[in-house]
Amino acid sequence: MSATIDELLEQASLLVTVGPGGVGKTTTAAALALRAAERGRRVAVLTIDPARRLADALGLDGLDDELRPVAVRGEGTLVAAMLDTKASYDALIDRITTGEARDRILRNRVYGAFSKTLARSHAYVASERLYDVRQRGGAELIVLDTPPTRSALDILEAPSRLAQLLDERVLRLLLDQGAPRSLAGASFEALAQAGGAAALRVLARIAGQDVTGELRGFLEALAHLRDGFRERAEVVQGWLADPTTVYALVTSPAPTSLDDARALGQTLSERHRPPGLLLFNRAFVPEPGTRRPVARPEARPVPPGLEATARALEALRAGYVLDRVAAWDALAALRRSLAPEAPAFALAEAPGDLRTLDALRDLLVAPLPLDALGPEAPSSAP
Amino acid sequence: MTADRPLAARIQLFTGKGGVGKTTLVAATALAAAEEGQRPLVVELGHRASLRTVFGVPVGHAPTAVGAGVHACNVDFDEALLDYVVDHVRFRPLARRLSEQSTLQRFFRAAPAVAEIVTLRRLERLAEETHRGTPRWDPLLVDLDATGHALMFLALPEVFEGLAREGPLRAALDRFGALLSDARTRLHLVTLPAPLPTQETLELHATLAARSGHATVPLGALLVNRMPPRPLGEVRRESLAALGPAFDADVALAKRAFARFDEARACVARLEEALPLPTVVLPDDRDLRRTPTLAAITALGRRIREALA
Repeated sequence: MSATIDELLEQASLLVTVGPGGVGKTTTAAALALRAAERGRRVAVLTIDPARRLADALGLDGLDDELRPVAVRGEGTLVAAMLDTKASYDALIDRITTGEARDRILRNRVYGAFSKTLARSHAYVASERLYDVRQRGGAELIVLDTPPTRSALDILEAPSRLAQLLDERVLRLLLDQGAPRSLAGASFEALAQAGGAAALRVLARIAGQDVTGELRGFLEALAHLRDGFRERAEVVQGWLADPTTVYALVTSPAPTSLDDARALGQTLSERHRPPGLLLFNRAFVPEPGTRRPVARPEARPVPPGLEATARALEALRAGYVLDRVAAWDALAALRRSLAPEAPAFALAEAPGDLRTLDALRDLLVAPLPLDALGPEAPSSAP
Repeated sequence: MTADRPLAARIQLFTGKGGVGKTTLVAATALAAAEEGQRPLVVELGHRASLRTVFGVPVGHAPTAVGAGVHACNVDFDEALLDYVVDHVRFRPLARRLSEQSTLQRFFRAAPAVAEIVTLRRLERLAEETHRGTPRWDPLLVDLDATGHALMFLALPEVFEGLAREGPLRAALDRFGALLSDARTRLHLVTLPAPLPTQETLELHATLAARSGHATVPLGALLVNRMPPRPLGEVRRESLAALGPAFDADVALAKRAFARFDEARACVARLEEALPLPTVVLPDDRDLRRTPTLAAITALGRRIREALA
């Protein structure tokens, strides 16, 4: 018997949601966090670019990346923040440095470009933010949302990325060509000897003098922070690799979403972090008034004159049943190929947008274990 | 000329929220173009599985024939970086050695905007390729990763504003700006007739419109994917009320379907009112969604062509 969602939410101290775009991943992350909080835990959720209504429901105004409390029921607590790269970067620099050093960094034009290029920077921010939230204490469970692209999994490497940018060898290569290079590896030694300045010349040739100069300024300003970056990176890497960290793969049954989810799941497994929870969002339409998937109708007497209406209704309903059965097949196949042992649940398609905490609560009230209702199960089971 | 014929553009970028069926529509456009005797190349950014799902064959950095007259490739960062370095360091072995040098490679992977720059350079190269004096690829159909990606490309010159004032990077950025704002480039917006994708498309359009004065990209068509059919065909909504309680669940489902349908129509109306673009509304086809065969995707492409002819 595999674990339930509630058991996972009780045990985990870090839950990372991963999944393709448009499947309701951010919403699911928020719903998981809310549920854990309302079952008594102290929870923090770090979301990416939530839809306006979800942000409103969580009380996030989108103006900064501060942690804000969400009013939850019961003894637990929930704080939520949305990761915004530019604001988060400035906040990060504020946290780790002060005075003139800080101003030099904030003024640096490479830093400006760096903090503005959202696409590849998310992982650094997420990693540093995760570190910050964990260090502040107070959260027993952190739910971390990731962006809906292949770069989502940068987070698994990214903690070391800023450290990489400030890699000792890079700094030597670009800043400090006269210094002895006893720490560098032999092959690097050879290249550096062959022309440490060559790297700078190449860079100048590729990017131009002014960029190279500004880049050196950026690296100089950040060089003394390097050990800090690296230490934090190592700590976050440790959390992400910890066996108690749960990677929840969220997808919908749409074919392209399934394929992207499979690719993401495989990457996770290759990095020895197989999905520990599979959530299939919008996997079925509930029969009105119930939480069960729509079933085929039984034969009923049709009022005279309404035969055409009744036939059309039955066709409509049969369409929903067909969709659900096809979805179940596809989801079961995905699960078999990725994580046959992981608990897997289907979530009902919510009516309309999720714009309130109640709607978020509702999402996880009655998840259907994928095992409970296979494609072969009589779909008319009431 | 291309103003009223968005599919005549040489470079066509497709953007839209994840899950709106962008890849399928890019493939559909390519298949229909090939049918007309054009030489379409589909470019996927990064290693996503989507394109492979559609064509059933793996897609790599070099363009490969994926069937039915369509070629496809994706942009691999390391290869694209090598291309870029080769451009500036003419001695190829040195370029290879430099771009394969692990310290520099890691540095470039970590450095900002490098991915966007080398990707644009790769697109530029593909656009420049010729075969017997004519462009090898026409059209070049680019499946952008997400809404943010299009804006990232466009924002590059501003990101480097005041940083790269001269030199090769400035020259490259200026060329990319010219490539994107070329009269023969179009950005198609793909969306769904649902509130969130509709809102995002309206916001993207507003952001692009506010960019006047900066590098911009001519907009092509608005593709509204998966428009639900009217529920219950010809049956009138009022007749539902006369059915007995045995039909309560069915009636509730039908009402739900009608609510969806009304909402979808409202979304299309909002989009058409706000966006002055040629618009194609594509039907939600259960069979296509379930088993996207090449024949079905080609038919979709024909439909897009006819609507935009």
